[in-house]
Amino acid sequence: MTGDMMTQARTPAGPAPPPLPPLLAARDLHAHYGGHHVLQGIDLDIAPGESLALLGRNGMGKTTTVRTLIGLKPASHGTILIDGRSATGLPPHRIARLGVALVPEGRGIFHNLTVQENLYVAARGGSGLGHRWDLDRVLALFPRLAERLDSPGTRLSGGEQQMLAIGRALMTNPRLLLLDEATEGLAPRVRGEIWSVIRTLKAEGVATVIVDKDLAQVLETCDRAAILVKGELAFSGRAAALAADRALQRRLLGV
Amino acid sequence: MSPAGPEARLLLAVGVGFVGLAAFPWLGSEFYVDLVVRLMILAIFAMSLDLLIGYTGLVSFGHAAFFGIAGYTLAMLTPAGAPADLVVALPAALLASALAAAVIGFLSLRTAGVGFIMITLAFAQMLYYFASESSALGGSDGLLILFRPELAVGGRSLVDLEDPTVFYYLVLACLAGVLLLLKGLVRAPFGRVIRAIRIDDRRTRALGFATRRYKLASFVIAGTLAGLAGFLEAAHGGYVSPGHLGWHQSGLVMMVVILGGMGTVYGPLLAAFAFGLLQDQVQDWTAYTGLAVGVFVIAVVLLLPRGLAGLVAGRSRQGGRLPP
Repeated sequence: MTGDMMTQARTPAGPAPPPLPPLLAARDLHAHYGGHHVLQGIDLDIAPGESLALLGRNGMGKTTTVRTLIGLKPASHGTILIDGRSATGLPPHRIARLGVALVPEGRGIFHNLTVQENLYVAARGGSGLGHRWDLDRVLALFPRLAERLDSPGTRLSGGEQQMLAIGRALMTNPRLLLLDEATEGLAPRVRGEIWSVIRTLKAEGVATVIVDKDLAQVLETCDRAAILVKGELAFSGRAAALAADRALQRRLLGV
Repeated sequence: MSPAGPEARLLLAVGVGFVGLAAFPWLGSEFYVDLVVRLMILAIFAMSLDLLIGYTGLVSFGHAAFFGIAGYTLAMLTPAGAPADLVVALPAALLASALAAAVIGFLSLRTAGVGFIMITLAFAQMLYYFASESSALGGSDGLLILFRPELAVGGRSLVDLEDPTVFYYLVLACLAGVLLLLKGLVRAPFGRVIRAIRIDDRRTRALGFATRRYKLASFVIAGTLAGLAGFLEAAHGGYVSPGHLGWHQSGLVMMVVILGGMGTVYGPLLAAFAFGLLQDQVQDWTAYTGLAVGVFVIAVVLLLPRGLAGLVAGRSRQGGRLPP
């Protein structure tokens, strides 16, 4: 790794530093799975309303990073601040109540609950943002779910399950949404719908961390990008800069 | 939901069943009225366990602990030569079961899966051996309850549970009450959370729920309702013994839940009756009662993956899925 990129990793590059204090700031995050040192000192800043593309080849630690941010995988070292206050070591339900929501890889629908129950179970107020997400607003965002409110969660197509997973996360009225492979395995047309919803959320001021394999879409959607290589940040900077640098993409992502 | 949906069919069956139960004391012989009382008590016990196994995903193998504790509480509160006061004895028995469930649940919920099964079994067996050895609790003989509790005001008895018909209707009212309570609970916001926990505890935590508190609440509610069953059983049978607390009892009630269909509430109710009536019939045909009942249980488990509740609900467009 070059010194140049290390500098970029330490200080988020961009036209200007984020005007607001970070919603979430992670410093020197480490995580282990058994003997494997999966995260080896990650620094991340996410400003209110900002979107970050979290990139990297398979097994580089993207999902672990997301799970560590919401507390499902406690960091073995390092600190996490939310609104400048320590959230290090908090259990996931406490972090969720600070305004962080996860759309997990594989969607994770509660299949013994109906669509409506899947949404209601998550319902919670108080996001700090102007808008409040409720059943009506989620159904306006995903009209297809409105037709299937009484269906069990499993009797949905993959795209509908993904919409339900996003809708469920929105019902917690999050300020930061973590999307782990939100478009994986979906038909192109459905993927387009999901991306358009993500852009709508961004316009509404919901901050996002997006893990996705569709590099062109994710870089077009996000403000900033970070690339993980073997548990370390190999790049952190403007998404547009990465989109323009084919050589860097090839070297760090193999695309 | 269409009128012919599984929900409607189940409601119809349960409604007809309750009308039948209400009329039964006039129709049935004394022996069968007594048998039905025992089966209704078993049904309350099994429905309470279904809240844990079928809805919260907690396989407790020590549910008899709370059943037995309520019985022992009634025995301790029954004075020699006089009945206990129902207004005192029933709340005290329920409170004793609830407290025991809070303590045992608090410690057991630190484990999951097989660990949880074993630790709940261990707690119940501890109580079983304690009762067997304790002379104050009558040792392995248990304690006699010579008088059923009574509800009296100013020396005048208002509800005389010694009257089999009065006792029958008390148990029937408890059965209906517990059924409505559990059905309401599992559809309430609390119920949605525990059903989500059953599918994925971590995911439910990531939605912002302190899942262990919800599991403990469910454990205490189930333990308290098991206490209601244990109280009625002890009052009905006139005694309580370590057998009420032991793993045979825990295993029996778990079998009734599985037979009926987990996560339905109706299922364990149906299964308690199917199981009890079958046992009664088989006694007339063969001395190998256990063997015959065992074949029935194996057949149900193999042929009806959703239990007896699935049989009544039948097939539907939703793949026969039952509402909570």
